[in-house]
Amino acid sequence: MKDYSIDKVFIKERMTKGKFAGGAVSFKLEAAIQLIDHLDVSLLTPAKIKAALSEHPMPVLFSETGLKVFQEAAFTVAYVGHMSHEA
Amino acid sequence: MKICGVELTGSDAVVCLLNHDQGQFNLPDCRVRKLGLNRAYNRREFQQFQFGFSKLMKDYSIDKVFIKERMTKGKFAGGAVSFKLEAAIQLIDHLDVGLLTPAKIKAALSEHPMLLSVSLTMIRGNLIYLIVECGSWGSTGHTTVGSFNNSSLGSRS
Repeated sequence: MKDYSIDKVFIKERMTKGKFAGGAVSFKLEAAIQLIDHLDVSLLTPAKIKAALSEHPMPVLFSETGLKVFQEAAFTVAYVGHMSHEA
Repeated sequence: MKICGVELTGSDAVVCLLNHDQGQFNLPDCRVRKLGLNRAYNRREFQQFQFGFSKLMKDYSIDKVFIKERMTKGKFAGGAVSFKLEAAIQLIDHLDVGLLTPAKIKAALSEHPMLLSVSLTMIRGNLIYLIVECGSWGSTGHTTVGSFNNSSLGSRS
């Protein structure tokens, strides 16, 4: 984060229980990221992401970005982060 | 050596301090029994939890922290918040944190049976002396005297 001088980090929130709950290790990673000093970290719920996407549709197709497929969720969160920051 | 045992339940960290010095155990007084977290997803609250835990360990000059490990999946898996608390404790600088699986705890207890039942430590009064066979606390094999100094619960009537 420092090397790329990141201003803000957004994490996609996972459910804490139920069928689609996140894994135990993912919550430990989340804690580790949140506890980094001088780093502005926020969480985005899937509902918020969905709402932001319907309000500001994605301007490009994901396949055109050249990113790896597994980065799609992270890319979406970053986009939504920008949209909610400007709004 | 002063050890702090931690059990993570729900969104709380239950703590217990235990001191072992020259064959004697005692339960040092502690200002809190558990540290809680109201909103686990609030970053500031989370940082406050870590700061509070770190301060507690420093104030009581704890040498080592042991956390009871929970399963990561399955029916008896620990809660999401408990894993966040575990990470927060493990990431405290200059704090020696270890994890103990329930299996390890069971094995150690069968090898070194607890001198007192937990309910006995609630007994009014300050000192309970026990004469125990060594073997559990030393390797020399002779008889030694262990004592429980229950300062934290002794003042209760």
